[in-house]
Amino acid sequence: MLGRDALKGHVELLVLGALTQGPTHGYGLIVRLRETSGGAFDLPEGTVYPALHRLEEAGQLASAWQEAGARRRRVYSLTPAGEQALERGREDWRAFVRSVGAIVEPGAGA
Amino acid sequence: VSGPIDDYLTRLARRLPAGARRELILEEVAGHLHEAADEQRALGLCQVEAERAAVSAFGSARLVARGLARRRPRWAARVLLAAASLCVAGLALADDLASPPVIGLKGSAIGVPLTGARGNFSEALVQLDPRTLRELPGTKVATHASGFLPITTSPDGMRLAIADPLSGQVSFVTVSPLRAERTIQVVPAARRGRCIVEPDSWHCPVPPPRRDGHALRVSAAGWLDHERYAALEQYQGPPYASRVRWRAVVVLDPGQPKPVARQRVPLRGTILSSASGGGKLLVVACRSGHASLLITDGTSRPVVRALAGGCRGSARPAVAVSPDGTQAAVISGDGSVDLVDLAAARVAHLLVPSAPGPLDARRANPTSTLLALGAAWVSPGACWRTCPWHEIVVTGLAERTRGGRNQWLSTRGLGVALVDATHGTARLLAREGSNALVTLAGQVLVAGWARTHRDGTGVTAFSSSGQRLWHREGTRLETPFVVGQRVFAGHPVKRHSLVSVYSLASGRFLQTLYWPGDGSRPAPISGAIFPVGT
Repeated sequence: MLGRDALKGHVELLVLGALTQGPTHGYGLIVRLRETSGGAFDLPEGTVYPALHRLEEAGQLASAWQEAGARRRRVYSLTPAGEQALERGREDWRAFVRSVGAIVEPGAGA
Repeated sequence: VSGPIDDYLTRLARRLPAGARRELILEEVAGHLHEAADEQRALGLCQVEAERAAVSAFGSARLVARGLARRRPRWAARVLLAAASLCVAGLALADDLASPPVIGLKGSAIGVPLTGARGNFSEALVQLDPRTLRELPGTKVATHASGFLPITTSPDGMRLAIADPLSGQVSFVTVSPLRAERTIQVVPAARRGRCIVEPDSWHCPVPPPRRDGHALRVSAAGWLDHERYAALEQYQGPPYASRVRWRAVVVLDPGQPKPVARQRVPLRGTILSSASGGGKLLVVACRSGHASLLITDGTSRPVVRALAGGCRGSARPAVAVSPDGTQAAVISGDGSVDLVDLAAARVAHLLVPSAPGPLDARRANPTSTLLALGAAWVSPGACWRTCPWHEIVVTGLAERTRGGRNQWLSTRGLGVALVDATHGTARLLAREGSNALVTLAGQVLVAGWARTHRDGTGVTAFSSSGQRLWHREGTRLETPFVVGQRVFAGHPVKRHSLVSVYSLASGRFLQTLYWPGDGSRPAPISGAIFPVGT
């Protein structure tokens, strides 16, 4: 299980990554993160919305309201800018993991 | 009565700037919460429980609103910074720049970090590992107080209230992140006495020295809801500051620098017990053998109702507010149960024939003196249409005496009973166990046996319908409590304790923890589930 501190600061990257599986609304995103991670961590659900709104404002996500029974859902999807940002984030993440691994587990990745 | 989701949306709306964007956010959040609640309903929870679970999983309205106020994307900068910082100093810098915690450990008690008090006099609040109860590195909050500290957790588990006996202040601390939020002066400095404040009583380490002495103290306190805290202050005049002259309820909002309301209340007698919930503070007082109940929200006209159950000596009746905040129950040692409709302030006396164990302390233990009763409402399993909060678990603790009040022998549990508040019937689940030892964790009731029991000594778990789930042997148990899916039950070894850890679901033994008695091991105070009535 991943600790809170280990994941702190990477929510937006997680959101972008989860949206590669297709557009979904906030609650669907929470469920997707939970299931994809195998239950390794749970996001306090409310805090995913600030991330979604920030990414939308940055042009990395687009949203549209859709009818779902008696309610409306705001469905988010990746934009081309979001896909580029995700790719950059993946590269940065790999570099980060490699670099930390080289220090924490010297020789393990050789 | 508005539900937990409506309450949450109201709180969130208060913290967001008005405008079209706010309305869209609220609609989005409402959809999320209702969908999450629907999922909980499908798992068997009733509407109120389901909404409460959805709100709890969503997180503090304050943090969510604060996050929504931020508009600038930060993850890329943060990841780049982390990648560029290939040393510990770099990692620390990235952590400093991180937003408030957004990832919760799965399996923590109610989605909030486990917070503990460290030191013999609780001089610091720290965060604990929910599995081992060890102190985690990170932020500490000094409490700046000495002596006994009543620390209470808000209903959503997001905030702590600490009453400081010497300064007459109440301090609020957010749990996630662990941070001192605000301190509010309750008792004016010029009028306070040198007394210790407790949740439902007070005592003075130094008696008022003069016959014409006076004091102003807090005698009861509790959370009305997630963001309002009520303290009952009382003014005591001569002789020796012993006579209560008036009482008033002071309402505090952690977001406001001063009390938001203060109102005199017509409650007379000695305060025995209190509880809060559903936006109200309930206080039971005893005067000349007659018990009365104060119901107040601090702003509407306060109500005092007579209770059918009497009061004897200093024995404390149990008071419990139902989880949906609509009802309360007051259980007295003579087997009386007073049910209170909190909206109408109507009291109905419930006759419980052949009341067993804790419901009839005198019959069960004729040579004992009743010390305290504990009670909590339980939901009998899944409920679909409405939430039938019609069962109450009742426990008690008595002091065995022989030949006079001063010849103390031992304390013993009076048993654990379930009272059906709809039909007026009661079932005795166990003949021993006390309010100091019974913990209600969701649908599981955990009872500890401090002395020889027909099943041996140890820990026993029951379902909310009274079915025995598991039993584990133990000796000289201290109060068990629950964190997440783990039951912690300690027993003293000389001046220290060994804490046995069991699985809540199966009773499987997991590990033993060593707990030094010098206060260096923090005791959990928030995020854990504690015994009924404590």
